[in-house]
Amino acid sequence: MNLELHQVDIVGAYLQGDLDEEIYMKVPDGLAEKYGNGQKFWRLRKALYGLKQASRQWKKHLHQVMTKLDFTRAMADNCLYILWEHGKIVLMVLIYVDDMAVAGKEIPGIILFKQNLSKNFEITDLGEMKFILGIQITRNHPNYLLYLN
Amino acid sequence: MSEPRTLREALLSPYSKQWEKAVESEFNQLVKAKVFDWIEHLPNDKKAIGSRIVFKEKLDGYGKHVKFKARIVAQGFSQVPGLDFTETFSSVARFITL
Repeated sequence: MNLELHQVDIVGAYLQGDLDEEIYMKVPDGLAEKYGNGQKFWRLRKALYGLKQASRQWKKHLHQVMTKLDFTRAMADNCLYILWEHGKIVLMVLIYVDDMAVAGKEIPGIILFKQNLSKNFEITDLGEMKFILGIQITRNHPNYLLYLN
Repeated sequence: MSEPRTLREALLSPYSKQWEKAVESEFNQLVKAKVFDWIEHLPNDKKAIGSRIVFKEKLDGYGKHVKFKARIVAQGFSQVPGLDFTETFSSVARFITL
């Protein structure tokens, strides 16, 4: 298919998930004195690293954004999102926590998606995919070659 | 030199300046993301979970420091099921989908 394959990383992903529960946290030693005027607790509004529901809330939030951008979640793997146009797949986005692999035939479509994404999140555009889930990827476009290592 | 385990240890280390900056930048990120509100007292019927700061240093191939990172984390093990959380299941991409 010779798809273009790009990679995007979402900055502070877990901090974007709203919390459904009322959670209070004792602030780490030293922070209260320095920043809190001696107040010792936080009422958490967003998921924080370490909370049991952090990854779930993040995915929930991301799902809302992807839906807003007209993506549908694939039946086979619910970390895969697909953008359809006139019965054809335009973009496929695979999500691994805060890492995204974006695949599409046309570069402009990929760029537009990244722009839309950056309106919702702070992102790091890692450009062409070089690494995913520990596999190194090297491509030779003119010859339609893709090396996995 | 091992990584500090507490803010106090970090501030007593030879890299106290770098650690202080790392904590400040982490704190500012949480403020920017509106992660919390400061409160003075807990509501009567509420318990607070614990937290800590995790300090990570990154070295280059020659053992030279290239990055100091501090992350404020909640201690999820002190959460009470049904009270502090109900659902936690979250899937990740399967290798086969690639």
